[in-house]
Amino acid sequence: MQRTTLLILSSLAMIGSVTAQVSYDLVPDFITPPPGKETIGDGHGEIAVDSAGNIYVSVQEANAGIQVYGKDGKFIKALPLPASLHGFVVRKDEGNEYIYAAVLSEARVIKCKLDGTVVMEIPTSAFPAEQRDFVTVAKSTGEKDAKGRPKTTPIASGVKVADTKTEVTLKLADGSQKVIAKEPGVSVSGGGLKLTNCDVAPNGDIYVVDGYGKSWIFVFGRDGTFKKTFGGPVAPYNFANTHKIFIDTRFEPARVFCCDRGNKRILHTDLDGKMLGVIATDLRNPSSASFHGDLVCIAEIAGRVSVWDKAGKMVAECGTNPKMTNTPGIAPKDWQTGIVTSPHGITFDNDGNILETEWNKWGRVLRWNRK
Amino acid sequence: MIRSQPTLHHTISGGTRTFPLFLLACVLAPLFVSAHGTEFITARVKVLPDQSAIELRLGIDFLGNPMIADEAAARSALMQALHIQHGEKTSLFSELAPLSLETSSTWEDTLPDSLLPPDDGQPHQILIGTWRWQADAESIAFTVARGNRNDVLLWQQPTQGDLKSTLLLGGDVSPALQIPKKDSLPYWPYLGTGSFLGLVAWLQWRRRWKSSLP
Repeated sequence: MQRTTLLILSSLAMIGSVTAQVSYDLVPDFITPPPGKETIGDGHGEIAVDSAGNIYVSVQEANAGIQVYGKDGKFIKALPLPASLHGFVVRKDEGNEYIYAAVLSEARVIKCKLDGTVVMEIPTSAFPAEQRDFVTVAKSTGEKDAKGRPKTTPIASGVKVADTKTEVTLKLADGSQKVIAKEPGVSVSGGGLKLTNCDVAPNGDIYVVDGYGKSWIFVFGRDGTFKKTFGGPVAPYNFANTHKIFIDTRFEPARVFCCDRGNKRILHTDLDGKMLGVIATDLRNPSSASFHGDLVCIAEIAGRVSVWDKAGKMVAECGTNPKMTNTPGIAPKDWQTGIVTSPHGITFDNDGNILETEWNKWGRVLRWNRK
Repeated sequence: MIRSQPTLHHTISGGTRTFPLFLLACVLAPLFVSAHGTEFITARVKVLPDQSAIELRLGIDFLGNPMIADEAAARSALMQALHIQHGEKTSLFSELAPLSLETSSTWEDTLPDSLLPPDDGQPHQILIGTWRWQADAESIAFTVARGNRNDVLLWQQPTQGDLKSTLLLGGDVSPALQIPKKDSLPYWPYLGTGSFLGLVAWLQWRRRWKSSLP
């Protein structure tokens, strides 16, 4: 009797551990662009769905950085938000839904209502100086290249600790300080922060990643107060172009899900930044992700959308491009139905269907419905 | 840890069999890189038919690139960028011929104008490598070693026609590239003419020899 019970229990456990293959059907031409436009516009951002099923897509358009579409894909309105909302999520906080967005070109994070009203900001100044003020001082060589472009040569890179009209002082990697005179031709450029995405933990903490910088992950409290930094190009993380991060609430406690694009892998840390492990390797440059039930879908910018179960097994792929991509320059005339170009943002809707947006100068959204 | 279908990258490669598809894809989908799209190594491919040689101009940004920490990392990335499949062998390209390096604040000719990123106000320093190799096979292919995280954008501008480009990730193999034989063509007319003249001379001699017989 005991053996029979054990057998039944172990069989049930095995069945439970095997996720059925899931499959999806393309919904062609799902999105209806804004009136007067043939496409949605310059895409280098993200896509998300609110609890009512409305779809939010970021485009690089001044003061109209997010477009809102209904469940049916028809354009509703544009929100008066910055043009470089490279990464954003729609999350509930204390009963209300908000958009949390990383503003790439302004190195700041905003929290706004679903109508675009900004209610909170994490300004550049709130980030730690060691990452924020990393600059490069360069000097013109007086030469030009074959195409007439002026050449410069770097003098030093480091954390800017003082900056006057006549000189700039850098703290170098070895801890020493270097004072550089601002002679003619000397330029100081490049703030250290290149913020690409953010997400919100169950306790309200906001996680922000510097994905086009050195892949640092910054943690702020609900009110925007800085708490800590982890990740970056150093051990044990060794991140490279960690394009976007998400709070993976499939697990209890929640984890940080890192799309470590440069290393072509996805991995988990806990909410304190402790490495938990690599989930998958050899992806086609994972750029974004979204969760629904036990599944996660991943936008791989070199030409694929993939779906994975909670155990880290790939259970479906959609739109795979036979050619490696990673370009915003594929014009609408060259789009192939159901084949992705450069997936950059992705979300499940509330029913587990997939919406993907691409890095594309004309702007493109694809949809697959779960069968 | 689960690896995601490692064969996937290889299914799109495969040398000459996929070359028509590659050409079609290139015509249909020219690459334009902008904004952040310079995390990878760029490599201009030139075939020098009069020498049976191939030339690469490689470039990588080491100042504004989230993949590359400094110039030393850029140097290492360029040296390890590509392997060459030639005949039965696969060799690291920088071991076949020397790679000469220089730095520039502009992309020089490592990217065509249509692929140049717009000025983002950030400083850039490009490590540029020039490499020339006398090919020892009629057909070669480029590959990025599995595990190498630095993708390579190969591009070629034919004298006529559209830009051809392809992005190689670790494990990928480029379409085959045909290398014309060095100076093979100019010999044929001489050989043909020589043979013809020899034949005429032999026939003349034979005729005379026959007519001289009693």
